[in-house]
Amino acid sequence: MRVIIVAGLPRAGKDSFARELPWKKIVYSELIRAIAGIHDVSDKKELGKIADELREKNGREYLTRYALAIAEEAGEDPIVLVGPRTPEEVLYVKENIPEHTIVWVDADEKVRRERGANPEREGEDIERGLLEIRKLADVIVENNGTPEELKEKAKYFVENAEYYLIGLKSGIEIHQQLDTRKLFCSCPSILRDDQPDVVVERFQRPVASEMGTFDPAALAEFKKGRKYVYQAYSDTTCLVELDEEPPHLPNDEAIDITLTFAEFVHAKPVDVSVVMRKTVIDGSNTSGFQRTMLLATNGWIDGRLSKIRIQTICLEEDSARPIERGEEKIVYRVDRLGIPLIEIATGPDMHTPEEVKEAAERIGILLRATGRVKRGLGTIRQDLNISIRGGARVEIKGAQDLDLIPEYVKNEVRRQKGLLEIREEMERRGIREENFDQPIVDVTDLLEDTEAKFVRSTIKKGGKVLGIRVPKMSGLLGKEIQNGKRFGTELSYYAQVYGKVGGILHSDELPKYGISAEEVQKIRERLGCNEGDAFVIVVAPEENARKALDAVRERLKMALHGVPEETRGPNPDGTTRFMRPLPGAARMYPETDVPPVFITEERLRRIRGNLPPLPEERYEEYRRMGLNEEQARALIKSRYVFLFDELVGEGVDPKIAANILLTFLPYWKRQGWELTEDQIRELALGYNKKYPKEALDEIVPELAKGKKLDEVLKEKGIEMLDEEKIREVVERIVREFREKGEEPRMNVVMGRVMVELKGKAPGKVVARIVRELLQ
Amino acid sequence: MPEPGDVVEIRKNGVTYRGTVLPRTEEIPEDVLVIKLKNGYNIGIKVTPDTEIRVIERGEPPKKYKAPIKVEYNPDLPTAALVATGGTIASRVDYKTGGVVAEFTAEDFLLSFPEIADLANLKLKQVSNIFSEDMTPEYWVRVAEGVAEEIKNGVDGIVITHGTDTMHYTSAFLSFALQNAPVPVVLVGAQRSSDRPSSDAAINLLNALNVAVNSDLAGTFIVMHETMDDRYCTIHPGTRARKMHTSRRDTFKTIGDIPVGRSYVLARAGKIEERWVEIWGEEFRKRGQNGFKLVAKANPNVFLLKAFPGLRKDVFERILLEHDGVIIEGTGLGHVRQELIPSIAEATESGVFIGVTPQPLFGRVHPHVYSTAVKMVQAGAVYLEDMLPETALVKLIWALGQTKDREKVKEIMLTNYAGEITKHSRPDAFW
Repeated sequence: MRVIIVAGLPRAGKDSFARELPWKKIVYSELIRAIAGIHDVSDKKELGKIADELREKNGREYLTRYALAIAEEAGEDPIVLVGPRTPEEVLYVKENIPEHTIVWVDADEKVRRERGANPEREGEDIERGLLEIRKLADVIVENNGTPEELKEKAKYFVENAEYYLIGLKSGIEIHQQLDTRKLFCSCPSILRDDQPDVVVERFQRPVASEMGTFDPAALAEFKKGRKYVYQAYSDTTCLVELDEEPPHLPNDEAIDITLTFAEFVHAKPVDVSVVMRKTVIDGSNTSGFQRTMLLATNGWIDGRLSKIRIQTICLEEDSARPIERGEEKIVYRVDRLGIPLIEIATGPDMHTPEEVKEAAERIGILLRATGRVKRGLGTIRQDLNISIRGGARVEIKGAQDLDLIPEYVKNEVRRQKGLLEIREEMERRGIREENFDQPIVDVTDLLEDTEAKFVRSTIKKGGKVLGIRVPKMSGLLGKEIQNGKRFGTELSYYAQVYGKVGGILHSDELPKYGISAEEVQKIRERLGCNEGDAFVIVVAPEENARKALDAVRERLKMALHGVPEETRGPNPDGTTRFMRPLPGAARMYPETDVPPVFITEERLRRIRGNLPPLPEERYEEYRRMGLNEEQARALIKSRYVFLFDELVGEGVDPKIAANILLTFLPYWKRQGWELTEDQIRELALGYNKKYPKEALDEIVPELAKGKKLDEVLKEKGIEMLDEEKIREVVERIVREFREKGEEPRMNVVMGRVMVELKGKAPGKVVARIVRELLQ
Repeated sequence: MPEPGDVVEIRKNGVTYRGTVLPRTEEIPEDVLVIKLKNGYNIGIKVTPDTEIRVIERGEPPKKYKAPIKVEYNPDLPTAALVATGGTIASRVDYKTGGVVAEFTAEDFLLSFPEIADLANLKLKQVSNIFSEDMTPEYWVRVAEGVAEEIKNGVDGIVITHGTDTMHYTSAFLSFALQNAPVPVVLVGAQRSSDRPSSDAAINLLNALNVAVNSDLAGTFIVMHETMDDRYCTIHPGTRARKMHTSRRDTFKTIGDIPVGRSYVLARAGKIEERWVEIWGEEFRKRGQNGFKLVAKANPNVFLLKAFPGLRKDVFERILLEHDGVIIEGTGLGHVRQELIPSIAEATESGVFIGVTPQPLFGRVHPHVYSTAVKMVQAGAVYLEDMLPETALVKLIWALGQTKDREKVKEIMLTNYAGEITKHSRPDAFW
């Protein structure tokens, strides 16, 4: 059975919300009347007393048990329980019904009073523990607006009930590069692909903690004995990036931009921010730590049913760019190191796949609205945190494509659900951890003559085929848990990460890839597989294969605990892959080389007095300029919004500017014609001034080759004749017609003129002149 | 007001912050409370009349700490004495408060630098605990005495940890004070503090130890990063090394001569995979020489005076007359403004020793080329060849500590004890 509880303080709107839900409802107050056998209790105080007596006698969760029994008997699913008063009534559902959601309908006290809420009755309910229910809620529905808005919210809830019922929770962390100089030195923040002229080799080692212990992850990295190679440029990177000079004072401009964003999301700046060192272990920072500072907390943006909290807004330095990753060494380029990044973390307040995308999009728009963020690939990175009830927090790192975000969420929900089902089935089959402690067996000889080419060639190169029996797991390895990806794929990811092998083969997918049924049978026999057992084999150099199978065993044991906490990487198809276990809490200590940053009232006043327009304000402005709704909406989301403002400021007609940026540009991009912002600016400024718009298709491909506009116009002989000259041509052609005794018809004359003036006159102007002359 | 270590909840402007109160540092004004939030960040909150502070939990006194490892004596390895003068070599970071704790037991060293166990048995001796800028000649004497004691105890080599700012002054003093030392005495430091993963402390320390116990050298040296890379360390002669960059790892350079050699220790994952010492010059003393003698004397009443255009005559004169000896960093080949020369004559007549060294650092001062120098010599100034100004200063402190006799001082100053004066001006010793 699936259960939805709707609770709230008097006049918050829980009944209005529940009314919009299309499922069977049981209202606690009506239930009390029914149980008590009285139908005319109009005194709500009296009703409360009766309910308390019932709770006293039969347990504080009694009413919920009663309601669920009724629903079960009636075969209702899902069932909506409206208006519980005690936490026990809610806890009973939380503890006994796996698929449920607790909705708390919330309205500000002032709003509820206006709606006629009675403070006395409210006091009694609060005494019963009503406010405790708020803490137990899975979803908050804010209802300070109109009844229509509440209806909209209820509708959204119904459409997405699937996700609310499994308890989907998601938060995002967004990293956005700022378009300023670096955070702790005055180097420009540019990435380069030419040959670096400085190369430095370093080692790093973990620092002991207060109790003389080391962070296990840092120690593991140290044990790899890796060397880090840093590439730098003498003219655009300095000794600070190379960790050869203490950091300079933090970039004030970057702090201002961060505080501007904080204003946009109603966040509260801290009074004093201490620059911290956050330990990094992979060498991606030359110092061994990332400098970061917390600048604001407690902000929010709008979500579908309630606000989404912006918990922290930090300013930190970007890491060095990995160029080459090897076992012995990693090569980094320090051009990216130190570029200011705003890091924004939301609360786990998104409950549907779309809502996650919308929040990411909204934050992205607000970041761009500061006017000072970098644009283009890799300048904004999203990390998604996702869990469902009974599952675990999983972080998907570095999602770049907004449109794929809902897919990542959906697949992760599916994966966690799948893993929970697998656990249930494993329990049913009586599987225990020690079942997986099976010996690793060499089965190379069984596959020496296999049809599978990759197996033969690996064996030929000295590789081995090693296998383990996987007791009682037959059928589960082949269970699909992401779109097109099976539980076996999860085992494969672990084998890849820990054994550096290509992957695994398992019995649920064999015979396949050229491995015959007969060979499968032989492997089963060698491994001692019984009915219902599965097996996993790995084809690789022996050392790697062993590590891979060790990792597979560990992953199988984890399956008994459901969903492991992991950091996963996004795949381009919307699925994700295992990268590493979720790291522990970040280890931070103060950066003693940089003094604390005092955020003064004066600074905040200056920032608040100079806030760039919010997207909503821009939208209104664009509508006033004559753009249609669609254009205005597209523009505020566009990376070109500031270019648009610039162009309009320089006198380009807003409609023309919008057309170029929103219609032409995507079309040109599809043709493979990529333009720089400077070229777009030239093009917009010269539109129907330096060249007629008809010539665009001739001009743009040339610009895309990196030429300048004037160069192209000269090469192609494109120019804009003034009306006088056009008139002369039109007059001559009309005359020629008349001299030949032909009737100069509009279309024909027009055609002749356009051929003659190709690339020199806009059709609109020609048409007007022809029409004038022919009248 | 809450105490450091207390867990507090602070409400201000509608925001509730919860965290652990941290001790106030110099940069934080009185009315600001710094707390560490649960997410690890430190923030400061300006306490205003409407700020509510509630102590949730009183802080606990810090736990007693002992490094969780044991040091065992390895009879197959040489023994080195590690003499510490101050600074954070082995350190731990307290992530709860963000503080850095410096420790000084053999266990702490092995915890931070496990590779030491592959190199030597370590004998620790702390002679002071001060910043290098606070080091005075009295401390040099204490360091020299401490080292002499360890030499007499028969250790195979000595490593001295020292702040980098004045390391070359101390190394010069030890070069003179530890005469005919039978083992290497190696000074070492770090340009990046040891509380960071990228610190150069480990590599410098391991190489210093390598030179101390595995080289054939004897005498006083500085061992530090050769380049910005964590690869080689250079062995500099104790009297010719100089800090040449404020912050780079390869700050130390040998001036006016070639370095003694190079040390390499490849440590990966806590184990030493390769190590060697390479000696470039031939004139260095060999390990095991006889006749060790400690001459740890110092008279700090000296001055190092940089000649510069417009140096006031009255100030110049007063400085000369108020000290027992003055080293002048003369411009070019060793000059001061002609107008100042009578003051030199006056000072030397009253018994002040005046030595002249090269302001350009590279090259030799020359008393005969220009008439100014000739006049300075006539006024009693002693030209100290290619001795570095700071080395000359230290040597003068040492010489005046032994005798007041100006002639004897002159003799000491002009005698080469430890490579401070070269007879051969190498063409390859300038870059």
